[in-house]
Amino acid sequence: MTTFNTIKQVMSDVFDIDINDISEDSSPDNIEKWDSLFHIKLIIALEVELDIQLTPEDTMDMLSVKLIKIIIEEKMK
Amino acid sequence: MLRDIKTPADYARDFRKIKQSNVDLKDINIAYLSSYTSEILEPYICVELAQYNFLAQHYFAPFNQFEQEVFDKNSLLYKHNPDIIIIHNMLEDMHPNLVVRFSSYSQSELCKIVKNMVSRYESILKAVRENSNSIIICINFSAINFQTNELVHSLTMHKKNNYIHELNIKILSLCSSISSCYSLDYASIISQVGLSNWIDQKLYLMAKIPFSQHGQIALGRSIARMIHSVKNQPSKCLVFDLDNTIWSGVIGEDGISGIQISDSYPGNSFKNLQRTILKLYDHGVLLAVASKNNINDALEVFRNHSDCLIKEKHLSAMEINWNDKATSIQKIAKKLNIGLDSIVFFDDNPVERNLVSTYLPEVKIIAVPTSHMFYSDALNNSGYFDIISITEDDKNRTKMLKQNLNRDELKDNSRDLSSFLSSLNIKVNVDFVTDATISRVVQLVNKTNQFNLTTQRYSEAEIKNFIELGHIVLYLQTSDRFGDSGISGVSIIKNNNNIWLIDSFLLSCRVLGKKIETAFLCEIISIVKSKSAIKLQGQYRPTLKNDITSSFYKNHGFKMINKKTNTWDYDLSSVPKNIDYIKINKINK
Amino acid sequence: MNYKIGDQYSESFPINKNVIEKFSEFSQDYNPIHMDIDFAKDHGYSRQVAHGVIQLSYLSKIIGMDFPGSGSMWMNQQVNWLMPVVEGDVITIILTIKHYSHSSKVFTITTKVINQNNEPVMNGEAQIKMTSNVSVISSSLEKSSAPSPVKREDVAMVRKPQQRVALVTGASRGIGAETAVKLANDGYKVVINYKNNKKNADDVVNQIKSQNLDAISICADISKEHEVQDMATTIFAKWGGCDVVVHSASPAMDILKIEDMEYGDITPYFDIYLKGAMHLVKIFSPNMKKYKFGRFVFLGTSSLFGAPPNGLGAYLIAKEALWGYTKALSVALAHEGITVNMVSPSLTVTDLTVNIPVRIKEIEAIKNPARRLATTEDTAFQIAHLCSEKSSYINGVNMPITATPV
Repeated sequence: MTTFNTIKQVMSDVFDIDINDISEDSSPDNIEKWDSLFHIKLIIALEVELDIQLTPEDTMDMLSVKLIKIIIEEKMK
Repeated sequence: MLRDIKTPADYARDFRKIKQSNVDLKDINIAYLSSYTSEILEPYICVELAQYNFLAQHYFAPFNQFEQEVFDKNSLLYKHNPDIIIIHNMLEDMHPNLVVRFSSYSQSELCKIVKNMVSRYESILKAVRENSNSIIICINFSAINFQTNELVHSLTMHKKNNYIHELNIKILSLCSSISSCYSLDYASIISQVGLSNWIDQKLYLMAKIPFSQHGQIALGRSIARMIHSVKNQPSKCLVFDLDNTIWSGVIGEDGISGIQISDSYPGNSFKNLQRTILKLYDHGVLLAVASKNNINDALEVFRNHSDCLIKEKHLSAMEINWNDKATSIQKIAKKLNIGLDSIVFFDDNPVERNLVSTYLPEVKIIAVPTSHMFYSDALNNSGYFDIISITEDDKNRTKMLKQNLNRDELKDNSRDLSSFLSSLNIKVNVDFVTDATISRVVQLVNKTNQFNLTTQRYSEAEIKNFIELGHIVLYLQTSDRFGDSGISGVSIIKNNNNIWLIDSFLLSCRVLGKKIETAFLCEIISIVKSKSAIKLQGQYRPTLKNDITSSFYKNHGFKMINKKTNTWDYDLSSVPKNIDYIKINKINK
Repeated sequence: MNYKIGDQYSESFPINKNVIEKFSEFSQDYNPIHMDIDFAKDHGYSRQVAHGVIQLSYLSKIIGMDFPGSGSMWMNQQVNWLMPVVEGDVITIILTIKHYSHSSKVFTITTKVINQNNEPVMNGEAQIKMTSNVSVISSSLEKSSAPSPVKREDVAMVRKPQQRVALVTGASRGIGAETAVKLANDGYKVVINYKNNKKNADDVVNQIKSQNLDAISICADISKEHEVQDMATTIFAKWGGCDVVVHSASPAMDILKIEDMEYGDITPYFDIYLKGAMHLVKIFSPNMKKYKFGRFVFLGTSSLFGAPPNGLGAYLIAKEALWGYTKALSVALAHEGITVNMVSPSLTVTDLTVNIPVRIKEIEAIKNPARRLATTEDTAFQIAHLCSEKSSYINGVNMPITATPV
């Protein structure tokens, strides 16, 4: 599975939303559930699933799915 | 890097599935009062409780709202109507200075803290009890968290540990004084995972979550397990197998010197399991054996093997025979007068486990791991015998039961057994072997050892030859309401001038204990009769493994005509007694 | 026939498929942009584009038959097509008498075409020699039919809008290039100034020319005064003047920690931004003063507002200096009809920002209320607006192009 697909799959599971409702443009603007608690749940799940360590700055920069993708791709290089 | 079997994403996925599924789970309402962001635990508690067939609905109070939630009768806590209330106030959150700067506190300050803590808990717990009947689980304080990576003067560390320990004892005593109130040991849960895996500074500092994902999983699991053991009665009886379960090897084949129970590898795994089983005995669990063996072989181990810790006196029931295990467990349940749902089954053989789970779905089956090194862990981790408290009665249960049994007369339970067998709706199909069925038949002929009267091995070519020569080669296929066992029996009857000799008669172990062999024999007799036979004879050739068949012909009305060759003869004028609960599909040939 | 200066004639013509097809047949110009609606749409037009010359054909009819009509000899026509006419449009051709030379008997008539939405489609000027006698009076005050000499100086003191020239520095790329194209579309003849990238500069010129607009490219390092002077000489020779200067030239932007910055690191930025601006003002403002019309627009940065991002210290210092210059200059030149302004876009995706990590750009975008970064069009549009005649009262401002209050 590509990194992006893994991110979408994890988001779908953690947020309990349909994976087809997730795109690069998804952000707290258009996903109602996405509050600070869900943000932390997402971070925890992504770190374990992708075997990466995210700094607090990383988690604060993850303001949209597009940014999550960019930051994680940086970490996985 | 600690790797859990399931990742947080796995738990999130399973949590979703549980919420969407239609499976019937028992609803359980849980309320969680804590000094941290407890919402993070929701998927873990829910998924783990689903294993025990609970569907958990959670109410998480905003953090540090203890008194506010429990004193107010109209609070959201009580509105949620919880079955379980979990309370966890972390020392780090209440007294951060105490945790880090322990040495700066005077003795009187320390005492004051304990006193205040206990009195606070007392008022909280009493308030809960006044306002509801919920079960209360109080997570206690952990001394482990006080450890840091620094080297500390051991006396200081000892003082700290003691201090927390004293505090916990007071909390435990407080919990015991309130009905349905239990203390859950936090430090044990942390040790499962290890302190360095438990702490995640990023989560604690950023989100007020005091444990890493490893900790979340472990805590969720422990809470679920505790809830399960509080809500459920522990299972009453452990039924276990013998060969390769409580000793290494097969007593019937390896003999008492060949099996291994010892203090060195691999015998020590099995000895450990025996100890673990006896621990259950100490806790009041009844022990029973269900094993396919000659009883004398098994008794020899109990009586004469110096390393065998389990003795007959520990066993409340023994079904050591050639019946199938479902039947054996049925009998054990009847004898001990307990429900099948109170029985836990431990057997190394997955085929046996599958059989029991198919026929007796209420019995709890332990998923025994492939390696014997992990048998004890599997038994301990099953959770089926978790108990909150041990009483004197528990310790004496086995003794008391034996006394009762000696007093009563043994009931004739064959009536009940045969009603069980009737309920199975056993169907039997006997037919002549053709090309379509021959390969399975050849397999059985060459593989079957136990229920095989003559152990004649033939190749496919040889069997085909028999058919061509006019001998009768039959297969038996059986099914019941749980499924189809397929071709499970073979018989070859050779014709010599109308004297028919049963050259081979064999059945797969799987189908034993239901008198299917009787039905098979009846059908053979009927077919042979239709061939205008003069005589029908059968032979028994004893081997190390087919002792169970030694009285077969005798029990079915044959008469021994040659002691040396062990040949038996059937009076063709008599009519064999068929089994009423078995439906035979008769062939017309 | 009696005419008056300022007399007007207008007539409307529907430009439908039939007209276009007939013209194609006549002219043999069957370019699919005129014939095929899908082709036209693929190329960014809403419908088939009408041949520009169709307007001139109708103009021919007007001049020959209606205004001035009989006796007209169409000598000269200047045409500036401003936007395409597409199938279905209705054009209105407006002729206005601007001047009549009694001595040569030549009318100078402005020819303007608008579409049904009143948008100017074509600007132009015609010179028509009359073979028969006409009487033209200059205004209601002027009664004499004798030819009144038109003062040479008066003509020379007015640079008509359609003659106006805009110079854009750093126009081979990014905001500069986009601004050059926009100004050309607004009717300016545009000079694309570049320092290194001739090919890109020529591409911009070609893009403008392909829209039937006027542009040239000139290589000059504006931090060097003599190169600016040479550039001015070229422009003046070709087009007689320069009315608008947009200064968007920039050195490559380097991220440098402020603690590591030396004074010398600021020099490249000072040279281009401040020194360059000063050269441009020194060399081009005299001509603007002469015609009492000028526009200077300097490129700033949204970092001038609020807290700047890290690493752009040298760049920021030079832009602050340029802003200081903008303010000072604006008060000095305003009474001469010259406005001096700055536009300050936030992070824009151009070649200048190519080294900035994607992550930072994306964070900037998502933090912005509009959830996107600035585009070159966002800024170019505002620059062109400031350069227009109507913006004469907007002076000394630093206009943020940031989608958010600063």
